[in-house]
Amino acid sequence: MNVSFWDWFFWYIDTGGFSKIINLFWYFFYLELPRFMLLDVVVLVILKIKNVLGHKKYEIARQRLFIEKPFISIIVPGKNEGRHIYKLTKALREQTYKNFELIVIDDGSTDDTHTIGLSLLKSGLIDKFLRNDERGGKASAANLGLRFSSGKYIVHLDADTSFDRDAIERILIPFYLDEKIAGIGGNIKVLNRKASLCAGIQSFEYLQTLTVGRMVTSFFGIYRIISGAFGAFKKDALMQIGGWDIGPGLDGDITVKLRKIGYKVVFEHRAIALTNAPEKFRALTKQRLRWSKSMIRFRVRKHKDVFVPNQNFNLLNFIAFFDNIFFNLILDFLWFYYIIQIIIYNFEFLGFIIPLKFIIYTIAIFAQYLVIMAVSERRKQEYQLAIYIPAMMLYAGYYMRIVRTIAYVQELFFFKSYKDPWNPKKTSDQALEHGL
Amino acid sequence: MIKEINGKRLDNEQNKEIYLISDFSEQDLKHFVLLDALVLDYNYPQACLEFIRKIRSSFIESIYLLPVYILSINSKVDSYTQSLSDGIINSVQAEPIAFYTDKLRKKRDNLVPISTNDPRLRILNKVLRFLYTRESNLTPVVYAGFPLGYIYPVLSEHFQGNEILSMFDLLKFARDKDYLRQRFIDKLHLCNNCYSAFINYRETCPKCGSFDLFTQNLIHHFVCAYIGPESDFIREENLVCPKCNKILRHIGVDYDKPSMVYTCNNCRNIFQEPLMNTFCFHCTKEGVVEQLIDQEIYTYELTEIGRDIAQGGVKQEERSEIVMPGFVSFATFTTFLKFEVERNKASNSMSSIGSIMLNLTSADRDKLGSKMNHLIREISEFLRKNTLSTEILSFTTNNSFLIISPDNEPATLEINLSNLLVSVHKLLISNLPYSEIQPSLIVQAIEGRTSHIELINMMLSK
Repeated sequence: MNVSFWDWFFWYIDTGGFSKIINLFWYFFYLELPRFMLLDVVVLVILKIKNVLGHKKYEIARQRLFIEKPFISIIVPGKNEGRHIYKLTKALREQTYKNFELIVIDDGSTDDTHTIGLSLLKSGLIDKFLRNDERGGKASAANLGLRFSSGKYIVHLDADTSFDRDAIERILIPFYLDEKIAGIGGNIKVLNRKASLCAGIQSFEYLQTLTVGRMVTSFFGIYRIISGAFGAFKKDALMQIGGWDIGPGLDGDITVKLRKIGYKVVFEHRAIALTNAPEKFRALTKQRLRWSKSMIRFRVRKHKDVFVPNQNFNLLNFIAFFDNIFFNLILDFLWFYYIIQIIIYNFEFLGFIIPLKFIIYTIAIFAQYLVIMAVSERRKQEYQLAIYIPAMMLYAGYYMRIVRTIAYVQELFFFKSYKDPWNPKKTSDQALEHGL
Repeated sequence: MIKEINGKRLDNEQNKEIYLISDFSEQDLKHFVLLDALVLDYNYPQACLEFIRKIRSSFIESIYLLPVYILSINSKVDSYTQSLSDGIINSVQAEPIAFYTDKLRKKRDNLVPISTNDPRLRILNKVLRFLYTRESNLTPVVYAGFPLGYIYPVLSEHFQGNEILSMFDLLKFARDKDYLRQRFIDKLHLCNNCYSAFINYRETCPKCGSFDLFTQNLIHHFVCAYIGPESDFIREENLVCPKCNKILRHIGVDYDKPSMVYTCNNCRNIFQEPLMNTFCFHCTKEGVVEQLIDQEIYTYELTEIGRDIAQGGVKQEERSEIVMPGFVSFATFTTFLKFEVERNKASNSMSSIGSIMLNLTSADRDKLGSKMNHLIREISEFLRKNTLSTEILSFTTNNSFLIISPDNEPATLEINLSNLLVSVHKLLISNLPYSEIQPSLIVQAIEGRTSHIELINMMLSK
């Protein structure tokens, strides 16, 4: 088999040179390699240099934070999250930054969250416990927390997230680096990576797309999503935009809204939080369908005005949208065209193309892995993630692409996000009626 | 006509001794023993109430079972007075009262004399007999003048202030013994300090404890996910979303009110779960709801067993009775007294009986603890040494000393006992330095007219 593969390989090179290989895998060499690999390397190198050169500036910002020591509000909205709250309070007590109030918002929980919340409130482990007897959805729960917060900055967390000891401090520092920054996304990593193959693969994916991917987009000023699991905001700015809008996809929506009013949104890879990823592919598929549908709903529909020069045009928003829509939506459909083209025109070469594609992608992913390890602050734990490299092509290249495409079709043609039980029906009905 | 009674005798065909009392001052209950019924004029409600309470508080059967009617022209009588009476009349009519008296007399004829020195059982016997003769239930009556908010007619007269829980213990005892059958009426939450049911419940700020709070509904606007207190939305007469400026039109369709929020006017704390504090209107003690004492209120109905017991009396349970040296047991004392009454009846002579009551409160008893028995022995020893050998002494479990003095008239016995009382008081004070203890004495003539049971009851009534 090997002999036959290399026979084919050298015959292919002999007959057309490397350009023939590049033309065969044009999708990878012209689109994916420059955008997701070469750019990553270049940006990470620049960032590394910037970090070294900007160390003093960063240290001054840190000192300014501790001199001013602003009071901040940590809001934790959620439904049926009671079992995580005590652990969260423990993690927060360990933080190096301590001048905060903790507000837990129970969005119509049906388990014992209410009892747990009241008990923690009584014992002083949380400062405010607010409950909506009627579930209103994540956005309204977060807005309730925002409404009754007293801090200068708002840190939004998910209850099942845990944090490095300096995570809160780190996520606040960028506010002291640039006055125009109104939103900062924390770096989310997978906590339960050993729980299953599914969670393990995601822990690699999170490093690849959330950590490195967001460092790159943030470098260009087009960082798109402040994860609800860990993000910080200027309260004034949040009040100006009226807080969160109805989801799903509210995490991405809020960054667009902040940019629209002239603020910057950045990613802080040094503010690290760990969260639990879905452990089963069924749950993961459901989660990613929801995430991908929200791209259509918010970027293609709700904020389409960012493409119109005389409306809410903003160059960075425009590039962020273009990057997102082009490299996800358009290229996903293009990928199907590419695969069909390969099957039709190179059917007799599939036995050669498939393994070659696997080799090329694996090498590229391995190279990405090396880059990730170069920026990782917990290399000792994360180097083991190399075992997932062989699975990544199948996972990211096929499984995720198919899930995304299904979501795009569902949302584009059937408005499926409005039927998602993630939001209460009463709010989805209103959002659909008002074209939001 | 009984001349000692300050009232008007009401003529009736059956020639019953029915009196209308309008002036409640200077009435001596002793003289009511021979009456058949009373009509109390309600012109002075407070005095009337006090008087009927006095009647129902007595341990003398012919007094506390006396039929009492309230004369009120407009038929308006407070619930307390009414509950202790046998009825309200708006004109003086002696005949129906005489008829009722007859009926009641027949019931009373079934009652066997009871001798018990257990104060609890004496009260229970009394209540059972009252219910039996009236063929009524022990129904709690709402009365705001009593800390409990309810009174049990007759029974409540013996349990005031901190003794209120003992009343419920006694009722439970009667129910456990199947004398009474209970039916739920209410549940009270009593102050754990003074057992008052008059509690103010205050929602307080969990942060500063202030109860100066104001509440607002939260409004959730579905379209834009804004949520805030109602005041955020009020614009003139409309509800307008402060985030998207849309007018809210229809609850449940474009907005809802998912919960409420409290704001503390003192510290501006915002919360949804105020702490519930309590304030007792009687003793002004503040506390938390969890500390209140839950107490069920029932109506009690006499069972068949209860009816039998009412007639025969609650038997005192076997217990070791303390008999002091030189003293006789209570049963023996009762027998002696019975003989003395018979002797005086036959010889038309007079002797006397007296009692010294220590009037120890439960707090006093708690304070004395193990010294209590020693103190009782000391007083017994003192009394034995300072009384005549012909006098018969006994001690009852409600801390009263009884004495039959065959050779002395009441006046002489009273002088003797008064002297002894001074010393007993000093002895008590030396053992209970800060107590306001006040022992008392009662002296009564032993004649043929009054039964030994009635005499015992007189001796033991406070």
